[in-house]
Amino acid sequence: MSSTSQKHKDFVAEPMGEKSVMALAGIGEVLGRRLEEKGFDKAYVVLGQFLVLKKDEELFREWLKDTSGANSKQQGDCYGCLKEWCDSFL
Amino acid sequence: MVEPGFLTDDQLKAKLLQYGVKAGPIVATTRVLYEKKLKRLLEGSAQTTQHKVNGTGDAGLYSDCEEEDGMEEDEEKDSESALPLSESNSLAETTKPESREPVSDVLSEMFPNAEKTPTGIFATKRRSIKGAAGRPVQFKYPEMLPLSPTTLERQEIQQRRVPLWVQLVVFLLVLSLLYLIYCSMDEPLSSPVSALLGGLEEAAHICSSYATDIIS
Repeated sequence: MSSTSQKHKDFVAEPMGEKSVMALAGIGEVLGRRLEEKGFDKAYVVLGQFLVLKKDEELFREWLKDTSGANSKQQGDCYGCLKEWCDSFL
Repeated sequence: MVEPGFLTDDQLKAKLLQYGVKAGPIVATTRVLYEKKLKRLLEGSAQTTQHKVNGTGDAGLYSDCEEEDGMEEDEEKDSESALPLSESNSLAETTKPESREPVSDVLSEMFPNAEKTPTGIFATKRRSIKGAAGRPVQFKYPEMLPLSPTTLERQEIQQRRVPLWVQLVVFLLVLSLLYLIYCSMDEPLSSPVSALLGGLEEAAHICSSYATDIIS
């Protein structure tokens, strides 16, 4: 597997609480703003979507692409970040 | 052919189950995704031998070479990487697993936890980015926003601002009018106010006379 970024490590190290959606790995300013416009302004809202898709990678990646225009790497980073967070805290 | 858009949630779920896909809850945000998945499955089962094998195109679909360079937060490359990939994707949409051994292995490596679809497809169809903006996912309540309590109050206050000034001006006008009328009257009004005023005048006179007496 590819090495995880610092952002990923920071996110999965603690409960997400009220962290902004831009705290997610793979989600920067541009994608974060697009997600916020769609109503996904906090990381936990994206987590909600992730869970309602039953943590399915393919569906989540597609949803993320449709909603924010994330490319493949960004999708993967975000998915991995959320998955690992769920493994630790959910 | 079944049109996924016209199925009920339960029918959609049942159809997906026929293809071995255990769908999660079909709610507003997941409905579209599951419809697309069903469409892909239907097309995949209908067209099994048509499409050409395009290994390079598929590698391009998931290659990170043009996306790496520390690009988690890079804006420009978002649209750039989507465009060339959308072209290659149209060719490599549905193919048989055995004819694409090397590439599907890469895919299964990349996605070890992905469900095995009947057609062996792991690729996600890439849509144009404008679809993301046009998707009406979260704009269910656009009218609610301006109707928040604070904005309502502010609107009310703004409505009342103009009449308030008018009220003050009118009040002052009326006062001045009454004063003029009172001044112009020859006879003093027989009211307790005038009696009090009279009393005050008398008291003032007495005080001033006392003062003059004391001084002199």
